[in-house]
Amino acid sequence: MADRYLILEDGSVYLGEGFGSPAVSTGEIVVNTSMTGYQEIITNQIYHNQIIAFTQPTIGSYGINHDSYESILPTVKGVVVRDVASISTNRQRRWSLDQYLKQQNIPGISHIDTRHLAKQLRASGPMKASIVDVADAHAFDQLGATVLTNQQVAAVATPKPFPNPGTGLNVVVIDFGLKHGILRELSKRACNVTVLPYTATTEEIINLDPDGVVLSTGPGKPQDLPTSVIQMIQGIQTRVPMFAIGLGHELFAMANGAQIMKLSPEHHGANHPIREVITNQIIYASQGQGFAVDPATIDRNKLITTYVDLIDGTIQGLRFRDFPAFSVQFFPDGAPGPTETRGIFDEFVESMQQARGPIW
Amino acid sequence: MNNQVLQKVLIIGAGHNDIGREGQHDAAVTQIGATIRRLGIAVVLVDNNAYSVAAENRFADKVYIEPLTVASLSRIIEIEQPDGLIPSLGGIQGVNLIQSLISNNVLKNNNVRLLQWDQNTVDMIVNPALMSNRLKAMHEPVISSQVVASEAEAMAVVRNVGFPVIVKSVAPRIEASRQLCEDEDDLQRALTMGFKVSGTKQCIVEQSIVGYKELEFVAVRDHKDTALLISGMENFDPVGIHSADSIVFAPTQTITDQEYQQFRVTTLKIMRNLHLSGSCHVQFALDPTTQNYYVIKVTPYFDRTMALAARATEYPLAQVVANLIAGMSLAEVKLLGNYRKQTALIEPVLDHIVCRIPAWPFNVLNKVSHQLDTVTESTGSVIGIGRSTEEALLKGLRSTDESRYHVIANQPQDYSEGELIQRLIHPQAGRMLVLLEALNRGYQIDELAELTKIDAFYFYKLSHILEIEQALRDRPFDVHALGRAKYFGFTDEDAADAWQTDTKQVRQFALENEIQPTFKEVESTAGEFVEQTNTYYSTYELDNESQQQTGRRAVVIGTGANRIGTNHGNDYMVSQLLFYLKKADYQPILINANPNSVAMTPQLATKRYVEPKQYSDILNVLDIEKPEIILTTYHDYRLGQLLKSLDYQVIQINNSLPREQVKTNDSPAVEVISDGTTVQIFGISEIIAGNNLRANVRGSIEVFPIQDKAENQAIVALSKEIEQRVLALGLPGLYTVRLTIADEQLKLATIEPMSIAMMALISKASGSSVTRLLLHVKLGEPLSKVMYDYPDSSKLKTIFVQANTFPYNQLQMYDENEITGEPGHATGSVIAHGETLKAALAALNAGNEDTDF
Repeated sequence: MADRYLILEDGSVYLGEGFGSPAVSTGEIVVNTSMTGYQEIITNQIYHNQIIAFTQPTIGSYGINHDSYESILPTVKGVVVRDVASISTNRQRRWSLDQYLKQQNIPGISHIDTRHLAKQLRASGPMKASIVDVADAHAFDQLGATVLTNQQVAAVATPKPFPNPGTGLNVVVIDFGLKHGILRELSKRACNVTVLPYTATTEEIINLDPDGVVLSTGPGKPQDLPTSVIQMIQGIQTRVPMFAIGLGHELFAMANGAQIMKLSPEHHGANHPIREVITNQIIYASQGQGFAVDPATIDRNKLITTYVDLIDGTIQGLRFRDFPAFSVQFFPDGAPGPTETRGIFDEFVESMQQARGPIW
Repeated sequence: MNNQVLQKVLIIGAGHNDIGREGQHDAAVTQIGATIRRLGIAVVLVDNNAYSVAAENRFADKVYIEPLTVASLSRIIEIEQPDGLIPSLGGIQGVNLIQSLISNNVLKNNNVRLLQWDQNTVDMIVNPALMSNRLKAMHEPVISSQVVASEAEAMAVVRNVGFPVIVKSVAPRIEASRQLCEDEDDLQRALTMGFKVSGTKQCIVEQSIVGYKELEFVAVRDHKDTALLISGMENFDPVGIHSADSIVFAPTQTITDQEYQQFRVTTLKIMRNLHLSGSCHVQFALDPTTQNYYVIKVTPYFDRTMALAARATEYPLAQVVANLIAGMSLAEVKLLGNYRKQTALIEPVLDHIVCRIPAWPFNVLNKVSHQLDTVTESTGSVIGIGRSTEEALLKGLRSTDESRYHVIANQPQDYSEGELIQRLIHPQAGRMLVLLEALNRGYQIDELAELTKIDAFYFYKLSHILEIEQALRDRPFDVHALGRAKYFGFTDEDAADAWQTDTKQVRQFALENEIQPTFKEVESTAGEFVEQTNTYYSTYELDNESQQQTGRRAVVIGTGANRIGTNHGNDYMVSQLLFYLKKADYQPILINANPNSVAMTPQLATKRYVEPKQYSDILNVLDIEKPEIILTTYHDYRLGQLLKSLDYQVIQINNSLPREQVKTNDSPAVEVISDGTTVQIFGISEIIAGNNLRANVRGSIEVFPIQDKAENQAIVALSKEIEQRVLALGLPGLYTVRLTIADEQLKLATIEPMSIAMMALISKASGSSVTRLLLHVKLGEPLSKVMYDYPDSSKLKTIFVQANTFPYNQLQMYDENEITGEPGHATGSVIAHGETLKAALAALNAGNEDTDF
């Protein structure tokens, strides 16, 4: 395999070996410390336009599986790892990670001192990075000149509505870069799901007569989305039970007056203890966040904090005082990561059933 | 568990070491004892393990060197009146004792609370059928099994489920193996053994799941129901090979997130359902084709896998468990050292790979079957840590110190094709070379995975190792080939072998071309937080994290894998050396790769390197640390000589085993210490034949001190001669001067370095650490300065006795010519004492009626 380089905005150069696509690519580099689930992470749309560095030393050890996709088309800009195993042991013997990344035109680079990289990024905060063939002045010029889009949601969210039929409660999912785990959990609970683009209006949503609305996960900075999204949330949250996740959670907080701050260093992993405020129980969850709700800006008369990350102190969950609307920053569907948070989908189902009344 | 404040707790130790019971219990006791004491709770420890480090050095407030029997424990409980009993540190034997203490109402009558577990958990651990029912009740899949009391009943089960079946003993008195039976002969043998060791004369017969993947998960939980996973580990070998004999990787290598989360959730669920507080190890079998799984075993007491999880992650497991025992929740745990406040709550994530490799007894015991099956045969293990599967595996293999398992030096093999296939299907110890040979001969990966039931992933990795090796052979003194080989775990010695040159040349070449090792910290957050565990491993990358330790550095070469013979004792001695080096204002730095070693206890050394003991590995550490002194023990004599030739200051300690087995009764010896210019006598010891204890004892028994007037006088008369002979040896140290009786007079016979068993015996009998004395005379101090705490030997009235324990029963060896009871076959040692020799021997035998002495 060919020598390639990972170069960072601050001038750092890491020599490695290329795998996957031979393309040159640039994105913001983030570190993920999850121990398992490389396929789920690579296909999660929250990483749109980002380069993911895995601290887990070996990835690719079981190839690509049909049931581990979190989106149909991955749009990450690169994969950085110490060691890649180009193996296909899935039942079809179809794709190795290397083949899959080639097919998706995503470059990977192995033989990187990812521990050093992780420590460096932890100290510096997020940076732009490129995977290139030659680490010369030109490459750094290109890297410096690259302006990363702030319209990530528009790039990954569905432009058109689509159904995911079920026989149970009628749920509208607003897609900001939806993680499949959300649909999987709703399917398990027999929900009849309609996925709408994030541009959907309050009226369009209400016209579908939903029992509940889910604001999905997605990439990027919540402030970069059009204010119409905030208006939509404000229009819905008091009328229909709402469950917001990840980017959705940040938008839900904004719709209720809170401000969103950049989280530095970002946190991508599943190792932090999170306290559920009401029960004092400690749980673990799949987390991937570059932003957090500023606790000082929360209107306590309106919102209750439901979950707190005990390591970085970030708010991990909010609940409306007067209406059945709530949100979590982490990914309650796991995939990859702990599954003990999946019960939150049951809470959502319960809140929908209650709102529907005794006829149900 | 109620929250009544604890003031005093009782710890039942694990007793003597044997196969499956290495230093891990004593290592846990040292840490848990020390932590609980710091929390203001008094600790009482009962153990009869001669090599217990916890029983010396004030890891407990009060130590009873007493038999591990219900009678003896009852008496101690009545005297001490502890509030709580810690059940998880004494292995399965300890659990059996606790069951009796509960059923005899000893705990109830003395108001002793069983900590960590519900009382019925004790019954479930002792009787797997009860555990099985409980697991079924929580809707967890378990293998169908039935308790039988006769061969006829067993055959009835077999008629139902068919061969192969697994047979295991109910309520075994020793850590008993599961036996795989493929036919009636196997079944008969397994039942005979199983009934024999069963407390209830029953066995369990169960359906076999040989060929499944085996996974092991370790988690912690507190009484407030917070629980987290410490480590998920994967056996390289499939179910059917005892997990102690299997190569194990941490973290898991080949399972998907869905499978991993399934095991994580189940492990935590089992802990919650059983209300376990502390740590728990759950073993699973996974059908690789369907993702169906079974729970194989639930172990809530310290075992080798918990030790591996702690070493692999450097999560402070024992410290955390000690806090939980003291009644704290995980959120309240107070950690010493440089841990972050909330480390106890952070689920460990790794950016390194750990590979555990078993060590075998075959170099000593030739007749033991090399076949790997459900019966444990390994006597210990080592770990290799690296940043790739290849590197971890090669470093692990190298750490076994067995050159015949070295990948590069041992190819090709000359088996016939038929024999190779037989070896693939019926694996033997050291099978890695067979797998490599098959790949070299062009066997396809799919084919090998099918034959061996080993995941194809590992064969890709082994093929990669062969590719790298070939490139190394093809390109002598090629920078890229050497760089790549080292990056994936090869060493100077391997390159020297491939290039037919010497290690020195390779080392020089690597130095000139800047192929230098970098050391990384073993810690549990994958670099997310700064956690100073002071534990390092080498790899070849950009960033080196290990800086030279400040202060007076003393590098101690650790024992490595536990083997038959001296190693348990050696690990005890190394632990003591670390402890007293620190007291002497040195910064002890340990090099060791044994995850079960007591010496790896974090409090003992200032800094640890988990590295193999090959010459180049050691030099890499020395290049960084540049120690003032290096200490080596008996097994590393050659290494010590090599280091001396490089002008390092090396203290070589040669105390090990007695030179030969002394079988005669009434054979006295004088135990002495010399600083090179003066000699002092510790006292007189005697070796008596094992049949003084009971009929079926093969080894001999050491007695110290002997207060015999006539002998004492004779020895006083000989003292001048003893002094001259010892000083003539020229080296400070501990010696045994053997005496013989000729013409009815005592005469000097031979002088040899005092055995470690004798060092342990004298230390316990005198209350003065003989290892400390040894260290100080080796450091050049005069006896007048170091002997201050050794009591007047004439005042030592209590008689201490010590006997080696042997693995013959565990290894199923019955040939009288093989089972000789020589010290070189020992796996552990029991110690006892009494006012008279008779009383001491009775105490030695108590609770050890079935022990293989």
